[in-house]
Amino acid sequence: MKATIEASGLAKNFGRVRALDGLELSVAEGEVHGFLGPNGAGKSTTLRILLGLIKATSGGVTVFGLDPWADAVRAHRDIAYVPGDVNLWPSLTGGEAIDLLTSLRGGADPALRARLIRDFDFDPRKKGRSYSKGNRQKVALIAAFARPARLYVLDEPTSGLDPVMEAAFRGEIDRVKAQGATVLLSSHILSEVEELCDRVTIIRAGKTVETGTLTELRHLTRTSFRVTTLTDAAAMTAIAGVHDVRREADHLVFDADTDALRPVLQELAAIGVAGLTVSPPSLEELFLRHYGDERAREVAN
Amino acid sequence: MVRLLRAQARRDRWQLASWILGIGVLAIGSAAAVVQEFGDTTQRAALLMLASGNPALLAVRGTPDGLSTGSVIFFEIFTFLAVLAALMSTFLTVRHSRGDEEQGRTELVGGTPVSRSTALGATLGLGALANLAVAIVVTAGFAATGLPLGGSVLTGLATGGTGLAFCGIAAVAAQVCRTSRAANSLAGALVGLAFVLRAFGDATGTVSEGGLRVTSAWPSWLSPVGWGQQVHAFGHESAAPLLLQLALFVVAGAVALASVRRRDLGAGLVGDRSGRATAGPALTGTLGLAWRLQFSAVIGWAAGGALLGLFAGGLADAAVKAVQEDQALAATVRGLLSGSTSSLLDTFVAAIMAFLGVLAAGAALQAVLRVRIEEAEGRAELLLSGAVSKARLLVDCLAVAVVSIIVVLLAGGVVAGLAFVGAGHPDRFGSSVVAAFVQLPAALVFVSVAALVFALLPRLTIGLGWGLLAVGFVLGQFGGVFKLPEWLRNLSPFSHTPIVPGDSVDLAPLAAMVVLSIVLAAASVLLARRRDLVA
Ligand SMILES: Nc1ncnc2c1ncn2[C@@H]1O[C@H](COP(=O)(O)OP(=O)(O)OP(=O)(O)O)[C@@H](O)[C@H]1O
Ligand SMILES: [Mg+2]
Repeated sequence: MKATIEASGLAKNFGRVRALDGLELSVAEGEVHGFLGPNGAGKSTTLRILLGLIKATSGGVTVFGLDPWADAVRAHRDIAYVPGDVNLWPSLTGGEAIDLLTSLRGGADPALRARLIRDFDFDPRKKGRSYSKGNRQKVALIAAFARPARLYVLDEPTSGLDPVMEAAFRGEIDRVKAQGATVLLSSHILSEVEELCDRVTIIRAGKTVETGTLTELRHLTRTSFRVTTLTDAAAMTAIAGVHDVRREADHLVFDADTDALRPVLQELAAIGVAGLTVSPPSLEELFLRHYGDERAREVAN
Repeated sequence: MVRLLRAQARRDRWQLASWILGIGVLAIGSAAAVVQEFGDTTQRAALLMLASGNPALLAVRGTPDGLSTGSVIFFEIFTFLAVLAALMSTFLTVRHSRGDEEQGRTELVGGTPVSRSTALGATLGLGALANLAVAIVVTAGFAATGLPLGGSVLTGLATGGTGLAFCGIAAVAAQVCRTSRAANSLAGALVGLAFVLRAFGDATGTVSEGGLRVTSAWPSWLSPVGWGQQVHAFGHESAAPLLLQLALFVVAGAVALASVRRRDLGAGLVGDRSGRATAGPALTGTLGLAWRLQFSAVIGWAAGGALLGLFAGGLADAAVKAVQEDQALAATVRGLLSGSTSSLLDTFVAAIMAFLGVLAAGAALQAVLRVRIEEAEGRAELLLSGAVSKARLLVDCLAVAVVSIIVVLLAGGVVAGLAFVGAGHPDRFGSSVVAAFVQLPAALVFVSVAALVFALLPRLTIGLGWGLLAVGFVLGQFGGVFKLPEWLRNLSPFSHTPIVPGDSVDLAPLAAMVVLSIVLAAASVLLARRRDLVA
């Protein structure tokens, strides 16, 4: 598969602040790629470089094989972008803003536009100044989806949307993915990324710390067990790769590394259980493992 | 009601305190400055005669009324004090009436056992108290400078009275409009109208006492600011106009109270209409957007230009007659435009057209600064994610800026020409339009310099843009009056605009300014392409 986005050794300084510090990102054509990181990790900065709004201090970056800084206008004909913070023109109505923005990429598909306005339950007649945050977000989303693009760059697109609208948003992602478009989606909402994304890149302090499919990343994480049994905890504690064993009333609760799953299951078969809940590792945990230690150190200092 | 009043005052204490204090500082500061700068009678006489021969100055300041220190101070500063008090009152009243209603606070109060008009009553009470404070502060400021107490009190009351009148006007505006933004705009526009009516009446007033006194024409009597002026503090004093201000407050306040009792919460006489669901054909692309955003502002600037044109064409004869009676004054007027040998009539037209040039530059500057506002408020990010280059955004705003200059100059020039035709000088139509259009190159320089600042130091664009225009305006238009050194005056593009109509018009500086502007604009477009988007 060809790479739609390819960035390597990407660095960006804002004065003395080093926002990006050797970031690696590769997004293949046709995939939905999640871009995760804590506040200030450099997600928005990366997306702005990909759009040629700002210039990388060093490192190589291509979008559709073009240099986004030098060839911004050519690349943008096929890119739909939703910024992290949507600001509208106070005197323009939402409908006018949608038409204006799509006109810059060649104009909206009227049928698609009408359906999106209905699905997102949006009133296009109000002035920009009177829209709430969620409604401003809808303007940018409708403008992005109202004309087909080859690449969708979305910076925390669901912030401010209620759950019903999030569902409508997921529907659009499924639709453009089915049409073969590539999506790069930065997010804090892990369930959204888990549900939508084929691959994920996790960054911290301007560096890529993890990249791969969710299955690949789950190798790095632990599975949570909640077992209804009266057997005492000692047997479990003995297995290498089992952590945080504790008893909660008649439940035995612990986490297991992927390598320890086999001995754990054998042991469970042996001791006999009355009930069992196993939860897959969530990205929440991935986050906690990658940033938790950092936080812990910060707190300790 | 007293409780509500106290609650409103509490919420506003810092804001109101700074308004009142600001007005007080302006009063005492300007009074002291006049005392220092125009200490002796001849200086004051020269100032007043210069003013009474220049309708533009009368329009900005008001009408002089005698030579005493106090009346010169009153002439210099009263309109500004009055406009400030009017604005303070407007914002205060709208904030507590329509503003509270919008934010649901009125609903909260409405749930308690008070009548629907109580909150508005409290607001009007607060407005009256705030303006009483303004009156006291201004009186104290003037009296502290050593001016007679009677005149000081009259000045204070006239300032507070103007504010009071606008409390009433704003209360009605808040009933008419459905949003506080619209109510503020409406009441603010009425403050502007009051100023303009007064400016027009004063500029067309009759000069007497050898240029030391000007009696306003009737339009000044249509304006609450004008009423304040007519107390003629320290001169031919009269407290009667204060009654007009008080009457307006009482009547307008009563109308607003009656309306609040009758209508539904949240309703208004005119609503914030819902707009178009789709963009019209004009709003495609960034050029359409730039024009759409600038359109209503250009209309405003052009209206100002047309007003100046009306002054130029309609008042020229009268001004020339007044000036001719006084040789000393004629010399001073010529000093406004250094090196001129043209006839007095030409001089007068050129002086007004110079102000038109400043208006044109202001309109254009607003258009080009828009590119920075779009960037700073994050909307440029949305635009640039489309197939639009950074250079394109700047070029579009520059194009709209040039169109703005042309529209303002056209409005001023054509209206001046028509006014001349109406006044029996049909031969002056063409020269008036030309006199307007020679202002174009200087305005272009301000536009291109602002574009360059945008490309190099984006965060300073707005401040530096307006700041440079203000400096250029002062150096160019008043450099002669203040007898500033030549080189300093020459820093202003306005100083290089030739006197048109005139005997010998040198076109070289115009050509130089046009070329300079094109070079600077081209450079800024190239540089803007090369820099990061800066929030
Ligand atoms: N224009 C700028 N000038 C200076 N520093 C900046 C600028 N833009 C970003 N930064 C800094 O760069 C770092 C990365 O910012 P960025 O906005 O890319 O983070 P983010 O991952 O998008 O965070 P969030 O989740 O809060 O949106 C932050 O430390 C931020 O303060
Ligand atoms: Mg961000």
